[in-house]
Amino acid sequence: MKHLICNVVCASMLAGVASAAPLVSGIVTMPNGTPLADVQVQVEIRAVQTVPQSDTQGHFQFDAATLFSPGELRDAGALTLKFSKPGFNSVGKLVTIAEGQSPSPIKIKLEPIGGSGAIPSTEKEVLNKYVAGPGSTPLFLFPYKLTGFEAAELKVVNDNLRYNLERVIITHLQASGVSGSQAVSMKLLPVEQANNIDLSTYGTYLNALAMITGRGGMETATDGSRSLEVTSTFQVVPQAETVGAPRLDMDDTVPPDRVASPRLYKYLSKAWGRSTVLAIGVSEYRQALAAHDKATLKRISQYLRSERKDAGPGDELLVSELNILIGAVDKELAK
Amino acid sequence: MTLRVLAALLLASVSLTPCTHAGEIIRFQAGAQAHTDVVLAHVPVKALVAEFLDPGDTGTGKSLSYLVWREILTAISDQAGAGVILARAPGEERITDMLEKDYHGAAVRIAKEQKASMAVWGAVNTAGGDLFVNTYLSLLPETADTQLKLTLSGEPSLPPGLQAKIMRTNYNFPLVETPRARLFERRIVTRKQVTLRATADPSAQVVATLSKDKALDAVDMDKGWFKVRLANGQVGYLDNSVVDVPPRTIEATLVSTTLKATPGGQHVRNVTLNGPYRVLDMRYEAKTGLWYELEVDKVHGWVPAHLVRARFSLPIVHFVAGLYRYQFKRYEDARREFAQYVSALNFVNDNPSLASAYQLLGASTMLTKNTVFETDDSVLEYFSKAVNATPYDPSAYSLRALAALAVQRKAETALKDLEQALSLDPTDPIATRITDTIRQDLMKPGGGRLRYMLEDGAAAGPKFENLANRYPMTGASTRE
Repeated sequence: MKHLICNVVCASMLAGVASAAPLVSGIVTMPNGTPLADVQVQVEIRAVQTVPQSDTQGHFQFDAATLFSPGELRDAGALTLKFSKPGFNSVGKLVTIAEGQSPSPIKIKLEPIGGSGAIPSTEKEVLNKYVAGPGSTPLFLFPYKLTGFEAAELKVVNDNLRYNLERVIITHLQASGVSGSQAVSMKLLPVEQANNIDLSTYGTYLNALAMITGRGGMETATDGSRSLEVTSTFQVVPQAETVGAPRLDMDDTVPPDRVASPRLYKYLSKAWGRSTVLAIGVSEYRQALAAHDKATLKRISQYLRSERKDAGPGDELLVSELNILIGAVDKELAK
Repeated sequence: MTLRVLAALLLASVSLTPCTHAGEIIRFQAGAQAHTDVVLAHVPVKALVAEFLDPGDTGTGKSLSYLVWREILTAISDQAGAGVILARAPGEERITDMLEKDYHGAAVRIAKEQKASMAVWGAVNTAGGDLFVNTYLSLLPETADTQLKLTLSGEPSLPPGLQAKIMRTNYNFPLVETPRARLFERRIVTRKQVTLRATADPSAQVVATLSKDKALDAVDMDKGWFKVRLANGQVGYLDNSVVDVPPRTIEATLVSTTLKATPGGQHVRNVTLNGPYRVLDMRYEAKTGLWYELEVDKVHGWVPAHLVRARFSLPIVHFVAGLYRYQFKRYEDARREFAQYVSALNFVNDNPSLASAYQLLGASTMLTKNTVFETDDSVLEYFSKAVNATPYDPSAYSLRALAALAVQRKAETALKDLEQALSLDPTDPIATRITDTIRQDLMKPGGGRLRYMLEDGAAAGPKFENLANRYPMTGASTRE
């Protein structure tokens, strides 16, 4: 089974990107912190490169300069890493490369397939009124968990995120000509994601198109300046044959006084828009397959091509994901 | 037989009616007139600017929409027959509430209601002294159906069907992050005798009375009002409708000219303009057009606007101004605006709008000449940049194919591009139709007009035959 991951290039970072060789390293664990060995690590800019697997301590490391030319690194401004291991859900991770620096060590958590905790009944009661009925296709935003902020500040951050991400995603769908059968909306959930329950589990319960959340904390640099390191996650919920349920993690650094501003979603806007197109594609493909509905398959094929039309340099991974889905849809159409 | 090939760019929905408003447009509409039901009904090309979404309800959304509206007006100030209107909600509902429900969909409905062909809108978030601005352009479906097209036509006539689309329907322009001051701290010019008021309110206390054509320092905006600081330190507010709004800066690259004491007046000094300059004053003269006052090497003087490039607050202003110019066949001006748009994007990766801007830039460049044969084939570079920006868009290849046919008079480049377009989408209606049109012409016994025009027409015939057989036209191609 192929898993999709998404690629994003932080375009405005194109300006000043590494000429020096960035050393990329990190650790892969299970959600409880147990190190995971033998995890396959793939790196992609234009071509996919496989680098050494994680060791018994879960550590992995590679030198990006041995895989890609300085020009490729400069143009891309970011690497997409894909972590996979049989029995675990794959995770895609976008790592931005700053001028002459190695990125900070990366922490990856792989969830065992179907191995997450169950939602307790008390929480289900809270979530019940959010469960999507027929005719609606919601994406849900779990409040971002950001340490070092008051609850009131966080409320502003999460309200702004919901407001802006909804617009960003819907205008993306409108501009790229995606004509899904149902209206897309973005809802902010009133509770935080429990640490032991993965996003897919929540997403399935809520009948969601995708789940979005993020977490982060304040970091103090050597010069005393403070910034917020945030990892945002987009989890596609529907799954279909030949295409998995993609999840994309994305790191960003935000000045603390800009946390409620679009700085927090600036780099996510395109990525989340595209991920939503993929999510709609997977969801509708699954339904159309079950119903042997060729008209819908044709429409899906058209809007996926329309999305691909707007792709440009740095979007190669998106294109390869779209191609997988287009290929699957076209194969059904040809039957 | 004389053979001329003309590239014609058509916006079929626009009828260019003779206009009586030459040179007046910058002052076409003052104050409350903006709120009549259908304003500028006689104006053939019309954009509408809607209030920007402003989740914090800070008033900045309103200010920005007025600023963008006034800047677009300035950008097309000498364009007879053009107009820009401010959106007005059809019913009780607020424009921003409507936009928040359906975004591009709502913008199109609002534009339609007010008989505009496109809508400019946006969203602004504030953080400290910085603004984060998203801008959007929504085109009416009617406009989309008869989108801007590149059509090869000639005398004697070429076969119909050599046509490709340029435009998309909806644009999401990249987020602009800017200090508030960079947008609002600027010179503005009174249009008439005006009263400066203590607050942004038409009934507020009068601070001062100012004469017509006075350049003033705006320091900020509050809703539709400019906050102005006078030379004596007095501060007050002026409604945007009583002032003209020049670009904040202009740019020039090694332009040798003469500074004049007044617009079109006496010689002050010969200068070479190179780089950005703050605009100190602006005037429109009926005979000589728009003028800017600049400070060059510590000397003040006036230069005609057509010698320099205006830099507007947000890239969308250049894009929209370019579309206006283009529709009015002012291709040199269109060229300039699209070039400004492209340069504003510099490090921002926004593929769809970048590709469209390059295509429009290429098309404008071709059209500044009487016949495309006068065009240097370096114009293909623009179409190639569009291909690089959106390499998966079949239309980008079809457009370059058409441009190459006209400029190079060879079929080989076009063949490769059409093949690329068709490999991306085997049923692409535009590419299949162009391919079939070329095939029919080249394979006609004795050859058609195109075969006569192209250097390699005879040799390319079988290759097009082969391509057309691999990718036959579908029902959609015939309808296109």
